[in-house]
Amino acid sequence: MKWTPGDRSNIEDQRGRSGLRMGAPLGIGGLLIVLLLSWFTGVDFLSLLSGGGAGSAPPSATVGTSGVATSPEEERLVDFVDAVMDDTQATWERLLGGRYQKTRAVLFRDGIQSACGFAESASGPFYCPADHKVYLDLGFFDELRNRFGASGEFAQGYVLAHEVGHHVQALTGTDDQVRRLQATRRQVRERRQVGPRRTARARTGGRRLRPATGRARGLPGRLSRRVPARVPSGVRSPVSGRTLGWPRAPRAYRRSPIARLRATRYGEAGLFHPWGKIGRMPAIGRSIPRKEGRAKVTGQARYVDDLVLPGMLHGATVRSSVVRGTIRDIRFAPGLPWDQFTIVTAADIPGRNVVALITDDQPYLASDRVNHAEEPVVLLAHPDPVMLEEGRRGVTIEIDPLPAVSSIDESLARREIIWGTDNIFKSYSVASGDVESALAAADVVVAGEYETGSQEQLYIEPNGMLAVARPEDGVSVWGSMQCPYYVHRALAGLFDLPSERIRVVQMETGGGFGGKEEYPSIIAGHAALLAWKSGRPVKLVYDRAEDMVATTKRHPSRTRHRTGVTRDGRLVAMDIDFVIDGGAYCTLSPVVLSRGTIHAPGPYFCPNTRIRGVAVATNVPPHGAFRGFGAPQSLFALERHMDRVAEAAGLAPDEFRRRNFIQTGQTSAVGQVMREPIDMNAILARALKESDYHAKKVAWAASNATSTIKKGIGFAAFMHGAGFTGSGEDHLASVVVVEATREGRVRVLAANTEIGQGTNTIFSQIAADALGISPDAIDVAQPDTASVPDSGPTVASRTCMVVGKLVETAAAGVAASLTGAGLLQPGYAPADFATACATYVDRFGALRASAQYQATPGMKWDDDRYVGDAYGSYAWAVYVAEVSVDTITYEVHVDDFVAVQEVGKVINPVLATGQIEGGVAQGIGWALYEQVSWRDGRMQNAQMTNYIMPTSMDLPPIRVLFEEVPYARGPAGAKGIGELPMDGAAPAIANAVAHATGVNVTAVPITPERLMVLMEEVTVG
Amino acid sequence: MRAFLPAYDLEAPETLDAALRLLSGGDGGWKPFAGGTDLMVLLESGKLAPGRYVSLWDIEELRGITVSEDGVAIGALTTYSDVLAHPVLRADFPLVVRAAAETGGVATQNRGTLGGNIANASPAADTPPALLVYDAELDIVSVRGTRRVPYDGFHKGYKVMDLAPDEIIRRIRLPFARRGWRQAYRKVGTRRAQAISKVCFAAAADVRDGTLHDARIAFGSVAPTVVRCHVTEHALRGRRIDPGIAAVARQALTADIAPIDDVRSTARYRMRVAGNLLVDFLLNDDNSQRPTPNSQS
Repeated sequence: MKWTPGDRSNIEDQRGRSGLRMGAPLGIGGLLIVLLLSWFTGVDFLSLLSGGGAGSAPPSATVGTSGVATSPEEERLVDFVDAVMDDTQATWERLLGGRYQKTRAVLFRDGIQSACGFAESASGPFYCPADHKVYLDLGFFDELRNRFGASGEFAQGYVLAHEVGHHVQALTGTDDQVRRLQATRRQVRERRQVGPRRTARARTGGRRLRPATGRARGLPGRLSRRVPARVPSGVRSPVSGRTLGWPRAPRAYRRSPIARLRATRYGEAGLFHPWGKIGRMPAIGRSIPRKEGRAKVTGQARYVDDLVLPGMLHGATVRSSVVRGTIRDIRFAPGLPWDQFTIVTAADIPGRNVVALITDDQPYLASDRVNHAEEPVVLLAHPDPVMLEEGRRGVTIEIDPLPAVSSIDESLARREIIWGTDNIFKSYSVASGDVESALAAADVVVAGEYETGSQEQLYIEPNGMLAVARPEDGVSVWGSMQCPYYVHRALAGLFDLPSERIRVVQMETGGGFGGKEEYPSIIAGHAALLAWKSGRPVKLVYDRAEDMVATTKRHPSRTRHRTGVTRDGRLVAMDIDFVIDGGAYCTLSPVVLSRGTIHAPGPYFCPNTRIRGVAVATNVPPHGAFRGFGAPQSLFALERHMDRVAEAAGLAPDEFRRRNFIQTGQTSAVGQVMREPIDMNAILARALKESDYHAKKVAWAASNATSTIKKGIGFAAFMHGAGFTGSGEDHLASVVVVEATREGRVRVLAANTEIGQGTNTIFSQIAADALGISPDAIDVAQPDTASVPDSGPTVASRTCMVVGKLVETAAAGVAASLTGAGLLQPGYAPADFATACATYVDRFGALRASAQYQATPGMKWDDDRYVGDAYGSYAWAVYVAEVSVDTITYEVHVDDFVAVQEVGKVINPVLATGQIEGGVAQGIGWALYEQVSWRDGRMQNAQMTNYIMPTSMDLPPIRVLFEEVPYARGPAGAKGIGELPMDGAAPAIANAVAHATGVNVTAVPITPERLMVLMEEVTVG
Repeated sequence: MRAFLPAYDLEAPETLDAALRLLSGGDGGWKPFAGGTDLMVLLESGKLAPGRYVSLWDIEELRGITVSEDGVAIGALTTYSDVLAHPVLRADFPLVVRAAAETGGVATQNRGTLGGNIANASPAADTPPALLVYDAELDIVSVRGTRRVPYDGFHKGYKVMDLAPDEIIRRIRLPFARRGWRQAYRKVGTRRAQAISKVCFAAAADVRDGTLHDARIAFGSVAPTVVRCHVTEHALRGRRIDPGIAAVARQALTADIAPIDDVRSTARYRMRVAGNLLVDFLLNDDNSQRPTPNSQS
């Protein structure tokens, strides 16, 4: 195609006085266009992203017709833009006739004020519907050429035609849904800014900030007051009539292949269209790369086993081989050079021989009594790890056995008392209404008993710690962990040292899933005891087998339900008996039990509810924290049971649930009035639609009759409360500090750990948006108790929602310091921030702000009666599983999985999707494959060949979809997300297997061996 | 690494002669191994008996696949990856290829060998049932000479073989004897990949005009060794393929296999599923076409 210069009537020249910039950073708008270009041309421009390319020499500056510095090359570009605009518009005029109105391309440099707000070059080309103009910085073409190798005129022409396409959308009204989407986003932002409740106190230089009014608290005004927010035609709250603001992508967007991919993979909150990103683009809601990702991928990240100190010894743990008994003697085999070893027993402990947690029952080293196999008794250290192993084999612990308890039933029978006076760590009793009368009056009563097995966390990196400990210096440890301050507290007691003499540093951590919540305190203590005695650094790293046999796992459970419903399928009574196996010591069992108990009635309203929760002792290694923390256990029982109740009531599983979902304003079983918006019906409808649930049920009813492969589909509806239960967060009173350097770099100081879930990245995004700067300018400090405040443990889905909110508040405090000092004006550009920081630091010194968690006004929790507001917010979800059951081998395979959840604002779509996919995969493992095989109180399959976690071949496509209902007390509206996906897979799969086979599945894992027995019973009976 | 490394000796000769001399040497006690895929797991976990080990990996004479008019001769060091890539094996011995595809992951397939799979003598090995169906023979070599034995009968009991301490397997011979027979292989593992089998089934049947004229049926993981089911083959020979054959097959099978409970499965499951697989093979003609999930072909 040839073109000739025209009269530039399609151009509005607003180029300023600055020269043509080369290699300006490319915003997402530009990226999106490059992506589309790649799609159309088949050339992968994105793969060239990292190349950078050699920029062409800057054109020599001359004065062009517009009176600004320019060059012949640039003027040729202007003519080119004019010609493309002219041709494109002529085409649209032919197609649309009188409906087409001409637009113009506004050329600018660096930045411009459009009717849609201030925009900078980095936004990329955009169309502003408010003034019907296309905006373009010619520097974008250099960007296309230099960074993406898209140098031809086609690429440039494509960009312009694309923007004219938006103009056509605006003219024809097809952009309505686009606007709706944008309006929803604006609502989110504005709600965040006006924040109906102040949630945390921001302190700036000791001053308390003014409570928020209608304006952003210390936030620049750049995000607000643009095009008036349009109310989306979303879901309305049944109580307030308030629109909940479900972000729904426009239909056209959902239909395009890329959009479908994105909707499937990243939820619909991922990328937005260029014209929405006026001014600086928010970091929240974008899938920016993982902060530490490069270091991990290139091997630069340092894990504890990478640490080597001069003179360092290796440590090992000698454990009991007997399940329960009295230690008679410890013998050391002759012929080994024991003088080379450092040997520690309970007698060497300088402080208290107790792992400080909830109850002081667990010793660091058993001294007279052992209560489970693999209990630590003796510690060894040696410079040579090979010799150390030989030493470990050379220690014999002689134990006189005592009778042991190996199951929940045995523990409850109390023939042998192994803990306290009754084998019970903790029990709860929660009741509302009158369950017995309601059961008696119910039209249908369904009883059921359900069991779940133990599960190993199987983080990639096994546990490990390195310690330096000397009486004159104190104790320092570096290692793999979730909760530095838990370790800190435990060490202070073990060594009887003041807290300032203890230092705990988290190294890069290869996964936790709860498995590095409490146990690292033990390994840290062991390494430190060896270091204390030897006077040398000691590294104690478990191999996989030791990690599997010795450390905590998920609590096995047994749940009994009695449920009463009316003839029309309304729940009138739920009687729930929930028991978990805590193992030999209390550890976290009371709080695991608490969460499991509160989640036991699920997302339903029932006026008469009684829940008894009991955590019992058995002689196995203590069970502990694992993603979901009791909720997956009680929700498995509930959601499997609800399918059975629905059947007994003669209703389809979905219809039964629709009649009973809890609604905004109703009261939960523990007496919490659900004030936040809930719409489980919408989530259920979307999940069933995405999975094609109803059509599949019909089709398989026919095909299953003749096939040896039986297909089934099932779902689970559930919720997960974020943050500590009840008043837990008030007691934690977490603190976060944000500080800025003279150069404008910002550091977030918090004790919350990056364990693969994305803490570093989301904290950066949250701080960046609160400060109006790039997330690249944010550093997240390595958690080190010597330098970071106690922002609480990295557990309970609290890091994003609770601690992230503190990050947002503290960062806003930094911004407020700068605006308060008159160094920044609302609407400032990112570059102004650095300038202001330099001035501030020069004038006033350190620029820091902190935020501390404050109790939510109106939230009440009664720890004694166990009633009140259990959680500030809940994430809500419906998961659908599609399975095949092979009747030859009884193997179950999950063929498809749809996960729809409402988690508040999604901070980083790729990370959030990863959390859901990972949780679902872990849930599938728990449901079908993973079985801890006990023999004489020991795990006999402590290796990955026999402890069966699913491989990628065993997993289905996991389709992750988000609904976003912002939560005022979460950063930008985010709620907790980490544990939720663990709850839904197992019951959805069990319901699907029941549908496929007709057998009543009541326990997980649904191994082929178990399913065979169930199916044979059906055949025989 | 839990093994105490000073307790191990290792030699890695580059010729067959050197290896055989070492094995026959007066001081004795040398144990040969091929790819080491099982041995390394034991070493890491501290469960490998201390002693003297000979790596055969560097001996080129033990590699290579030769095709003749009667069949193929497969060098003992032929890896699963070699098997997967060989056109004649793919065309005429699909069950061996399927077994190779279902063994471990790519790393194991690059390192694990057919000879090692036999000599490791695991009852759960994946390729031996397929080799039994094809009437494999073994060339066994020592300084004393070479002898050829049928593979059926080579395993005498749990980890007991017709193989003297100074002998190694040189090659595996497979005759072209199953052309035109229905064939099936199914590994029932604990998951779809990277699994050890709970029941491993290989079979071939000469079915014409609705009658089973001859059959080879073999199982892994259901007895102290991989087993060829002679009683079942005999009971089925000459029978019409009709629903009545199921009970005959299940009944006969109880005489051939003796499954146990272990960490991976139960005796009850193994017996039931072995029967199911056999009956499905006999009655459903299409089962040999069922896709193998992790087949690389």
